[in-house]
Amino acid sequence: MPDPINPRLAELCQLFADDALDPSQEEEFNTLLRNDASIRDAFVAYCVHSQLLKEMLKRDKASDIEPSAKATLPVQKQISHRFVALASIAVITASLLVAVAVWHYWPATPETLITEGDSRPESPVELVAAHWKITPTGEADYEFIEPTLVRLDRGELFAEWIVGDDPDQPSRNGEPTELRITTTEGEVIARDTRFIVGTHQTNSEEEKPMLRSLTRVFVLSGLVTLTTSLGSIEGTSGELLAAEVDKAPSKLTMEANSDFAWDLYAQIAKEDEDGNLFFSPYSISSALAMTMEGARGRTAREMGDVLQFPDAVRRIGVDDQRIPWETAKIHTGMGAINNRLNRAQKPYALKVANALWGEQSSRWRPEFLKTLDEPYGATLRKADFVRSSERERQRINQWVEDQTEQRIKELLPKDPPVITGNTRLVLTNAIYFKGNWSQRFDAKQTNDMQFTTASGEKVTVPTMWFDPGNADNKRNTLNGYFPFGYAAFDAQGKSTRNRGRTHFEILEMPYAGNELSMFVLLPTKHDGVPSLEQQLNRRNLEQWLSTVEKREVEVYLPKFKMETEFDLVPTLKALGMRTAFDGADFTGLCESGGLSISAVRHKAFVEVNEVGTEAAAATAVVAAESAPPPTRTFKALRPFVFLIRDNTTGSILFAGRMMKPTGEQ
Amino acid sequence: MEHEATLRILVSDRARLLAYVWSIVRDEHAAEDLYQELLVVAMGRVETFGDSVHLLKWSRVTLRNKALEHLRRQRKASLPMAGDVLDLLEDHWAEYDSLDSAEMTEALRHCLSRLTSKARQLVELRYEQGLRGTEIAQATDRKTHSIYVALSRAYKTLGECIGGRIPKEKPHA
Repeated sequence: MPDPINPRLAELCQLFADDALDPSQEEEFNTLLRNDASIRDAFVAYCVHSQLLKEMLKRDKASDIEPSAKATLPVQKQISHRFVALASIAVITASLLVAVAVWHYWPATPETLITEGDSRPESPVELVAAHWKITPTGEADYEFIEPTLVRLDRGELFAEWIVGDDPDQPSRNGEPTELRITTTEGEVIARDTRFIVGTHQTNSEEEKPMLRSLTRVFVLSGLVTLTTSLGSIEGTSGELLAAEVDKAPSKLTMEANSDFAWDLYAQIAKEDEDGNLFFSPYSISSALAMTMEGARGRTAREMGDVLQFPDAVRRIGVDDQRIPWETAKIHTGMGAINNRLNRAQKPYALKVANALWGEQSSRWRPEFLKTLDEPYGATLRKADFVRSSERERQRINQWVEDQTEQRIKELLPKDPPVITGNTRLVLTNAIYFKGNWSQRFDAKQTNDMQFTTASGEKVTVPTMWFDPGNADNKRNTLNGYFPFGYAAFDAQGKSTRNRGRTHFEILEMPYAGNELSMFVLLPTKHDGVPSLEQQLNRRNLEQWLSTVEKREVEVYLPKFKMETEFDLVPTLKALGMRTAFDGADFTGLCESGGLSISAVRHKAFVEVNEVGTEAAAATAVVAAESAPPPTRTFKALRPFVFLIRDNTTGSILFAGRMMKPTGEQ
Repeated sequence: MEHEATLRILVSDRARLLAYVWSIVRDEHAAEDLYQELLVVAMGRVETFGDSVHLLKWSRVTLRNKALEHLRRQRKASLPMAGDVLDLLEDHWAEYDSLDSAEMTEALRHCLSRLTSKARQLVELRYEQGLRGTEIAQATDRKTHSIYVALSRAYKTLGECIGGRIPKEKPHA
């Protein structure tokens, strides 16, 4: 006979489930469990029964609503039945972040994971649709929208391509049929493969917990694509794809990169207070993040601090002194951003490339090489620095030239010598961008105008002009199309519409496709850049840029062209990264150790003119305001700060300031 | 163990593993998240599992660690269950490893039908809709304490009925 249920325990269990035990009840609860095995038995039974009850009642309810929901075929009947429900499905894809994790949890196995006819106690149902076998596990809440389109709201599904013949559902011309599974985060697309997709809601770990949705795809074999509002990521056998809200590695990485970008900007600006400035924070972050993978101990700690890695990736526990950061999230985030930036079919040219150049006689740690391979696409290229350092220098420079369409030459100079017989590893990153303005400037309207430098000197520069009063532009405006975004701010950085209080203005100039924009931050005073620079940080910028609105703006912007070159060693040392250059520990790179960074070189090039690339596109944005505000004039004829941002991920690809245009055409 | 066998065991024990981790975090969303994490970790180390007993014991240890880590991240000041009590409960959880979930579900379904309609309504509000005691009290215009008492009576009836239909086996170890 089973033990009778203790009535007091039954009551305490209900309070326990609601987290409603007061301290004395907690004590009583623990004492009961501690002293009596039959009470412990009853408690475990309570937990198991509660879980089974939840699943059973929810399943029964779903069956009441959709009697055929869990039935085996015919799927075709379900389609028409369920298609009605499709209209009410809101697939929320906005503001989702996507990430690909490179952990190899799931080795590819050619065997069928679950074969037909297997008995699975809690998932006896299998639905077959057009050569796909869909196997729900546990309390999967799903439905077929079409034979090869499944909506999954909660739980896990196995999806397996069946090679055998199915006379009722033949695939087209014998080709694998594409299977699509939608979740709130996006869509999983697969052909000829096996995978598990799981989705559920979970509480965020913020101070104010809120439910967020999370989808994971474990790829068992073949290739699976996870598509969200931010783009697509592909996973192959053994990989885990994940899409989630807010806490995705790409967001953590973007925030770290942006924080680092403005630290770096401030430091470089301090080193040359009056000069023009242009660099790619993203490129520098990428190269340093790759290098950091091999750093250990203090070297790694300093590098992570300078790169502004968030607390979320700070390692706690065993070995955290030697390996202080959980860098997998950063690399995963970098990989996701790289994939996005490098994706094909975009209305502008943007490519990011990474490479490792390692001395052939050195023994590089395979785990280091593997970690950088996928997220950065940085495979090791063997080099013979010991015997042919000059030839290797030229080879690396040639690679950089090729990646940047010949815009960056001699990244590694011959004199002073950067590559020598002592060089063991060079990590390179190259980024190239060329885009058309979504609203190009009319070259005929470009005229010489006076640019006032910070010192008050007048310089004549060819200045582009966008005239909203021009007949064509006026027509666009009347149709509700405003090509530029604009906002004005007071001395405290608060948005203002009062011209008298305006301390600086921001102009957004989108590139074709509206995915990337140049933002120009123009102080009201010709010597106002230093004051504006003091306020430049990620949080301020995010806030400022979020207030930029499309409106009618008359724009004057100088054409400019700039080439810059930096030795970043002193800059990075000043930011706190000291040990990496002297007494470093890079034992994660190479078994023999004894490495330190000898140089960090950066070169950048920018040219702003009326057109940009040959590609052309247009975007219409309909303003919601009932009465249009008066036209603003944005005259960038005094020093300004500018940046090029990927608006989807928030990554700052380039940043700079124009203090004195050279007037080049 | 093979991938297939490992996965089948973890999937068929899903409800019990969820129940286990829920008993620590008492948040069904977090429990599901941690269970999915467990799946990922387990599939990466299938070769280390000797048999199903080993796998399920490892699963509970892993879930317990993950649950405690989750609570630490949530900044929960203290746990309602003491560490030594969690240790003591381990053998009792192991007893459930050999039970058939489908059989238990059937027993639950049968026993649920023996509840009065009022008690069944409370159980549905609690488990189907996931309402807390205070929320059920509001929905039914009753006092919270009386809801807890009524729920505990309903559960007592259910538990005794199920216990009578499914005799437990002794622990594996």
